[in-house]
Amino acid sequence: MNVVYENLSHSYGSVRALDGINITIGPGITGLLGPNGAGKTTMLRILATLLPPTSGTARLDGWSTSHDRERVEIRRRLGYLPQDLGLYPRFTVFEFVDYLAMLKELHDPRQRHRRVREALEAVDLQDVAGRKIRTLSGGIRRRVGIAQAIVADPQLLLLDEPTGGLDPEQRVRFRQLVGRLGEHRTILLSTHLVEDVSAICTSVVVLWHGRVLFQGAPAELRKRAEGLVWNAQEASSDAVASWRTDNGMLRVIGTRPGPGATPVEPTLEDGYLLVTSGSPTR
Amino acid sequence: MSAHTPSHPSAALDAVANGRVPDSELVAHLESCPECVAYLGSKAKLDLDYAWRGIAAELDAPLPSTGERLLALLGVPQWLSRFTLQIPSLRPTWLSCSTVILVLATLVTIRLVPTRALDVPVVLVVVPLLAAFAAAFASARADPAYEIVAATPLSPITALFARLGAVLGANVVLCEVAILIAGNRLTTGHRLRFYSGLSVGRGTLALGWLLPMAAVALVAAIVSARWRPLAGAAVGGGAWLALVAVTAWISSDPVSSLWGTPAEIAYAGAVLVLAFLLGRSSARGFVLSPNVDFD
Repeated sequence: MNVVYENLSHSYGSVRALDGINITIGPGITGLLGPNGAGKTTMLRILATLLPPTSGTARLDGWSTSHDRERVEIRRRLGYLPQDLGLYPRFTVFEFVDYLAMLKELHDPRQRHRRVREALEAVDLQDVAGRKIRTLSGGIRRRVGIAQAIVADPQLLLLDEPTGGLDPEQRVRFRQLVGRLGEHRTILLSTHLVEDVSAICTSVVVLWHGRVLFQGAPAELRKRAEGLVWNAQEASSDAVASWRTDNGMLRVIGTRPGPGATPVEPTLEDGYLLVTSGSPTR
Repeated sequence: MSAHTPSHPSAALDAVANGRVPDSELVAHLESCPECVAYLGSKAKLDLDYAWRGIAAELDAPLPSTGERLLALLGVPQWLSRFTLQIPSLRPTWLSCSTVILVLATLVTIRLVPTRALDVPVVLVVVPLLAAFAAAFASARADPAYEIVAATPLSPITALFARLGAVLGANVVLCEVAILIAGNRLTTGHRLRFYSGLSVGRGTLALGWLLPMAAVALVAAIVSARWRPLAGAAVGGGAWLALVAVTAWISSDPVSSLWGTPAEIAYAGAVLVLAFLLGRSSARGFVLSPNVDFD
């Protein structure tokens, strides 16, 4: 499925959260990367049909979020994991996912229960299916959120900061899961963690103050920093960023800081820092 | 086991392999005949993983709650009853609190109205207040999982009517009981009897308490849909209390001014306008507001 944002803008009062977004996103896993307040959640909420755009349109395979009937078609194909995941504490895991499956038009009880079981197996929660949600840790609750998002086998999956609050082990398992899910779906994943994008995304959109600064493959973003990352004793005054690494040297992004500096392989984070440093608003 | 002899029940085994439940005779035969077990294994089309997943799913699936079973008796589909029963203002604790408040209001009304210590029956003032809170906390925003629920194909109008209808229905039952009790305990001929619902034959005034309740509930629902449940309850309840206070201050007969025919006609008009506004705003199904949900 293809997602198209056309001249999409959104304002919260006088604050402009999205400013003329024009992008097309195809199948695979796309990471929306940017700092807090960049507009990632707003982009996802508009596509999730929760928030009307101030101007412009968001479309899924031609269905616009601005048309009442087309919104239902989008919702039929959508799985959504919000950033602030609200669950019913007194429900069991199975009961909660089953409830959402009902609302997603899976009405035949046997078929629905089977789908719930499959969704719980996909996130490795089958052993806690009967436990009350209030007894679960944050990481497991997050997986319950993913289970409800995938229970109706959606073609579009929107995951808003899905790794927030997960410990490193849970994060790795989550990335494996999303990697599997992304083989046959369009997934938009918002994050401010470069590692998430580096680990699982097939494409990346860098957002900065409501504008798209970059769209392409993670490798392309990394390439942007080629020849501009150095190990040095000291940073030059015009360096984009510099920080001391565990070998005692400074890692410098920018022009060659001095004759003793040696070039190093850029990472995705270097590319991200370089791209965002070029923003006129910075 | 291609050379399956006539002494083995091939036809019955084939039927079992296609999903038929074996009878006790065949089960006994299988227990003593490894050849038939092997034959069945080779013929069975059953995917054991698939079958097990179905069994495990049914074991994990919760039984319908008492509320769901009661609503099922009324023909309400399970998805709608489970959706409706998630409304905070329909939880047993909420309804218990409402009942306690109504009991207190009824007692105060029975004690004080005949002594003329109060001009306005407290129970009639409390009823719209309860409805305002109940309607506000029945809005989509009061649902902890509202973002997830709003992203499902569930029709926003269906959701709205299910939530408001269920909450107002529950409140109507509770309030009617309270007003009936208050009306019956007061002296015969007291005007509260006129609003008690006993006098249906006397025309619209029999529903005197219902229209202001509906109007106040709709105000609360509109505000809470746009802002937050607490704001909805505060605006709806506050508007009603202000109306009662001002009327009690300026009118020599506040009961007639608040629940008399001209007031009822005004409430009816307000209900129509507010219901239209609520329906129109909810039809679009956007649960988030640019003024509230900045991110």
